[in-house]
Amino acid sequence: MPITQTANVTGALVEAFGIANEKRNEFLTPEHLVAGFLKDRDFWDAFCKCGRAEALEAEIYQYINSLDKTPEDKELSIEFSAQLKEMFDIAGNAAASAMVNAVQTHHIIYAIFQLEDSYARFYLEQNLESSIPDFLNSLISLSDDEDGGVESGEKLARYLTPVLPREIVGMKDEADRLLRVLCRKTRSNVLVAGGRGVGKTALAGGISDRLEKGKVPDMLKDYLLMELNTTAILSGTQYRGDLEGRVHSIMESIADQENIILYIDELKSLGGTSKTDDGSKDILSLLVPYMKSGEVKFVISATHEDIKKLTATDNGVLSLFRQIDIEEPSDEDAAKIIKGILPELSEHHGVKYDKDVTAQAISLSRRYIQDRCMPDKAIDLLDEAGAYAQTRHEKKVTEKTVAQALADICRIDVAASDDQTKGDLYNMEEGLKKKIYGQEKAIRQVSEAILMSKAGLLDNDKTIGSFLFVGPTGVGKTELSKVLAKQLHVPLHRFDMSEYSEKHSVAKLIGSPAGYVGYDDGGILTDTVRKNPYCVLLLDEIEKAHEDIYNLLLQVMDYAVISDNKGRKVDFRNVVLIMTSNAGARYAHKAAVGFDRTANAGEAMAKEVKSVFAPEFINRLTSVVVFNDMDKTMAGMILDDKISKLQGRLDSKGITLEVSPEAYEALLKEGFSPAYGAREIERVVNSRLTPLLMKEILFGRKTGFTASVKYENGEFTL
Amino acid sequence: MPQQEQERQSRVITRPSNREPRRFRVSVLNDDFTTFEFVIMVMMTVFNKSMAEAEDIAETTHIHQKSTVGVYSLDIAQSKVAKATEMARAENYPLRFEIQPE
Repeated sequence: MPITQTANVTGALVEAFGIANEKRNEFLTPEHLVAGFLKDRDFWDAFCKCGRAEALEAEIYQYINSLDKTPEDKELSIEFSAQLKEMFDIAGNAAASAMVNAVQTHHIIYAIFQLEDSYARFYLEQNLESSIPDFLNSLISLSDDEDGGVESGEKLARYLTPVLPREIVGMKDEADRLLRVLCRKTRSNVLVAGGRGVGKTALAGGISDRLEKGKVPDMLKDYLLMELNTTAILSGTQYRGDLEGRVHSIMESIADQENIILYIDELKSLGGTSKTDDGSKDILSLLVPYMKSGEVKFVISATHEDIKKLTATDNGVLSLFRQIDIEEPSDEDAAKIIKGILPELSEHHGVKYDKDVTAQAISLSRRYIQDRCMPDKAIDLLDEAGAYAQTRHEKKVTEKTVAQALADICRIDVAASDDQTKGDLYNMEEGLKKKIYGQEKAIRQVSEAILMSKAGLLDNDKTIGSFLFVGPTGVGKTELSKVLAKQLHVPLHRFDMSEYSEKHSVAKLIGSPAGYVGYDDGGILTDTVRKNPYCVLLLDEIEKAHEDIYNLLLQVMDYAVISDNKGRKVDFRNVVLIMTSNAGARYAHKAAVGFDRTANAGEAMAKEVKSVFAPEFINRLTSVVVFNDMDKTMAGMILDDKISKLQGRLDSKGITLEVSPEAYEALLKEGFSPAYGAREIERVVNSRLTPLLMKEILFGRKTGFTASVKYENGEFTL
Repeated sequence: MPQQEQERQSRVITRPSNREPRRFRVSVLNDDFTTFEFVIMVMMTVFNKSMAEAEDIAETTHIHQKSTVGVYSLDIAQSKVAKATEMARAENYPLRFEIQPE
């Protein structure tokens, strides 16, 4: 007596239980079981071929609904009914006499036909048009699939999902070409190539749509586009050979079906782009025989990078495909595509999109989002804007919302893309002057250049500005960059070029070449700018850098683009490049002797700069900004600044600082040094003033007093 | 929808019965050992009778030696009888039922 049953039978039994449970029947009857079988696609189809499945279903349910229902308050316990037990007995015997070790569907149905006064039997007979043996035969061939090593229809469903049909805009030529390739006799496989977001998966949806509507060549009219679920294939395989076996059986059943086009969404997911140790584990190589023979038609989508990687490891696979490249759509096409998608987005977020946001999204995303392609990046932006509006309970998506969403995506300050910025820009020069003392010319030069760029008057393919700040040490070159970054609401990224004075330093900035250690780490400079395309880039002490770095910078200044070690392009178009140099600083000091200082200092510096830096370097600069050396007024302002900073620190202790005029003068005199600039003043303050306070704070009056600094006889006292 | 009427005589079935399934009457029989209460309980749990109906059946059985419980399909009749009988035997009651075609 067989002790097992097939999956189909078990499945039907489980469904039957479900029905009995739902109806709160106390007995599980053959009628329930028939209802359970009817829920199986294959059984239903088989019955449809031999009779009236719907009528059968209706009558069966009529009977089931007439059965006693256990009241809600009583505990439900379901038992096999007398006839069900009888049925299983008969079925078991039938299976045993057929010498199979599991009860199959047709044994069960046969058993039902043996029951006396059974409604299940009656309804089956009523609605069967062909003869019983014919019906049983068709069930037997169903069971054949169960016994075989081939994946049966329902199990195949685990690995395949139908590609949802989607009406698409554009890509008509590509779709036509794709369908043509599929009609080929051999090598009817397509590789859909394109950047991220360009529409490869959408194309698959479009093909599915055309298949459904029949707008395909006659040969393909009955075909279905199904997506292969690669993770499902991999899951659960533990032993060597498991994966191979599974893939082969899946492919065999797909080939048997003869009407499936297999879609694989990412070439990467098949593995094959990097060899594993035993080299046997990637699905791609297992699929190659089927690609060659043409038994199954493949459509695979991939990015150009993935394809490159594949050709690097295995040349042969690519020749099995015809490659179709998908380009980014033009702005008009992108607008059309978005128009089609907008209603969905609108509905999903529950907001309305203003008329102009489409165009705005396209232009903004084209300018600011570099690592993806149209139309996806524009759609993404609109989606984000929708979510933005939704979370703030706003009903409309305006241009402002889109700008804010953009700020979130690419980490640029909202203010940068806002109209408010105009006010800030207007006041930028003033704001800079307030913080940096005595460098009017420099400030003016920089402000002008930046404003020109913002107005769009400068070449769009260059950085916002490339400046070389020269001047003595400590006059505010680095400080100006800091303040500028603050005014523009962008981050400041500082690189000290003295760290990059060796030949291999270039690798630190843009990444090591392939094969070298650190290839995966990437370059500091390229990563920084890629993550913050809007920033002020400060390269301090540029004259200390290695000359290879200069060459890198030449390219940045001219084309505003660098390729990192992986070949990715980094966009510098929104970077303010500032390089500082002390070259010729000593000459400024020397030039002071005996002549009118300011004029000659400038000239001397310019001369020195010309000799230190290559002409092609200087040529590409927006301007060389010469910083004035320290003069008395400047020194005074800086001293005031330092003292007020000190006061700020003392405020928390409730101490007020008062500096007598003599002390002030003395400090100024000591601290003023054209050669050493503002830092000297700070040093003087630190060495003269703070020690006096130090003792008082720790051991003396501690807090809440007024410190009067006086100068007497060359000494500072409190 | 039947495409063509198929010849019915080509059917090979083990027993020639394409009649509508019969309905069966279940009756409960009296005995000297099964208590009133038990019969009522079985009527209510297995045969879904109300208290009043159950009492009625028990009375009738007691007086007339036999009482109709209900009319069911063969499958249900057999199943319910089997269940009730099993419950009775568990309590050592010799309660018996009868199933007759209607």
